[in-house]
Amino acid sequence: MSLAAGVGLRAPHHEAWRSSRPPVGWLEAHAENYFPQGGAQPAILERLRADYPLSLHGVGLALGSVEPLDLQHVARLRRMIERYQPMLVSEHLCWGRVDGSHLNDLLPLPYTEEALRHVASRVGELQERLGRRVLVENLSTYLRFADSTLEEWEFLAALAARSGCGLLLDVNNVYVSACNHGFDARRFIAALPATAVGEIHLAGHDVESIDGREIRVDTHGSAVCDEVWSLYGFALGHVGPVPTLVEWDTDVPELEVLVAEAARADAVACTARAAVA
Amino acid sequence: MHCAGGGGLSMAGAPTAGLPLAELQRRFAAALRAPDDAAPDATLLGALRDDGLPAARRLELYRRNVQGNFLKVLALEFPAIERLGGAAWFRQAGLDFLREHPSRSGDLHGIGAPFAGFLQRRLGATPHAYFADVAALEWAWQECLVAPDPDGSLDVGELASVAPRDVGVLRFVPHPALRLVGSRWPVFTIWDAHREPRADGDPPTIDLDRGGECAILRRSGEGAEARRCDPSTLAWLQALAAGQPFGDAWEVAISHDAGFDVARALAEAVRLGLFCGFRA
Amino acid sequence: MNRKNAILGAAIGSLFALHSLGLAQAADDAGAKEKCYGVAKAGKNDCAANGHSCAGQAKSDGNGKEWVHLPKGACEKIVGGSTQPKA
Repeated sequence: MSLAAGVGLRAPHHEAWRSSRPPVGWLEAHAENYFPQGGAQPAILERLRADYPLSLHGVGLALGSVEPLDLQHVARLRRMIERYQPMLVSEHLCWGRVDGSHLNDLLPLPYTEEALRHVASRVGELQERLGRRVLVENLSTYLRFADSTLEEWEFLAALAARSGCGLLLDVNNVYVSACNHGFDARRFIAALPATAVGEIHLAGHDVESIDGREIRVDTHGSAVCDEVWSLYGFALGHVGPVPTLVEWDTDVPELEVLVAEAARADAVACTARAAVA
Repeated sequence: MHCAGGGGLSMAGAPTAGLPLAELQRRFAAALRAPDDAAPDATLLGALRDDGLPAARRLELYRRNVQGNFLKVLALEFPAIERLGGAAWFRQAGLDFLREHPSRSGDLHGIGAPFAGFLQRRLGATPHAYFADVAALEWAWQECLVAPDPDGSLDVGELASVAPRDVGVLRFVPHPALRLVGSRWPVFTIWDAHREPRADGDPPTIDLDRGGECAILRRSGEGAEARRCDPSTLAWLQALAAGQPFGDAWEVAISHDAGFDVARALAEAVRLGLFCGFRA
Repeated sequence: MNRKNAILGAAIGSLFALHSLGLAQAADDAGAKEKCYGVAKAGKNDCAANGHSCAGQAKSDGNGKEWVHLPKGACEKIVGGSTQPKA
């Protein structure tokens, strides 16, 4: 029987995907990895798309950058959407481009009215150019801006309301940021408009000590921790059942380990449903 | 558990005159690109909250991540260069390269393109001048791996129907993944010995004076294949790939080697799928 | 000119002959030690944008251009050559 939860498609597993079809519910690919139009990457995506629902997760649009949208990048994303017909398309609430160069990282925004206006208009432009709704994901962050006048969850809720975008709720990112900044993760999740949340991400993170202070770092390099599983159950109680994805990007283990994490996500979802009923 | 603590946005002591978003991003980006010993940007730090850990330390986390990500991708693209120079050397060279050639795209596939030229400028007059040619071979390999699949394939039957008087002016369409590399140094041997970790211990000693090497890189299945070739074949393929007519390319080849066997070279090129069409 | 066209025409003729015999297909042949094979091993945009695995790594050793003169890796076993290689 197939699971409901999906897993992130990563190159270290391409060999395994060539010869097996584990019972995960769906797959998510980093869109930019498949921008090149030849060779092994598009070939494997083409084959897997026939067997699993697919989601395209953008990592490089830098929607919050003041710089104009990189229209070439948008056009490539659009071409991918036309070719692979994904069920979901998502990006991040972040910036990263300045003066024509790219930092290739997911950098945090101040939560101000100015930034909100800017991002909402960018997301609107993106949705118009792609001809479809996109989901915007919350980040793990390690700093906050003095000028922020909104909480992150208020910013996300307003962004969804103004631009009509959906939200990709990364529960691990909520937990990491909650720990790093001392807010209540459940309050964050409860404040999101439930109907806007179209996808959930789960992943592992690390704990670092900097100057004696504990900082949680979003490495995607370990199993989902117990606190995040419990927060996931809470999130499902608020948003209802939505497609859930397990991601692993550093020290990537065997594919079976991810499949087991997806099975655990299903078990948590099952318990959450029983609690609601 | 401190994760569930109060937090909130108590703004006591925080400056209220905010930086415009554009200036904030410009200063933030400059701080992430700065070298280790750069003076901190007080205006930027004033726009960040300390929250129990100095803002400069928080910024440092992002700076290291940006640098580390770039270096990770560069090492993925130039594994032989990293082994040849060593990890610490590669890190320094890579950071210097990043400052000179920042990424221009949200897709990291292109960042290594200027690396061989960068190494040529920095190392061209040193005993490590051959690094640039090894890097050029590694970049050609990266391009070969992701180049577009061709639209069609060469129809040999149709080719054979070209009138004899017209064969000299026909032009072959190179496969999009075809890459041709030539060097005064034995770059293929050096690359082959260093591009992957060796199960049998240290790489062998290689004599730079053993002579130059040429290589053909092509799509093989869904992956790539690289093989040595002789200089006349390289010159012939380079001429054809540049769009020169079959006759002109042959003349280029025989100027390198009067004994160049075009029948054999053509059969091999077609067998390897180096062309995906022709124009009569 | 005639000789050139004859040579080129013969090359295409023999290619067609090989093709007709089924000998012109791409194939992996002998002498594999002269070749290298590979596929793309990693998604270049994975670590770079969807995690912060590099955030905790150590500072670099220093700055400046000393790297230009001090490679410390396997290149110590590349011998010969000269600062100004022969063209």
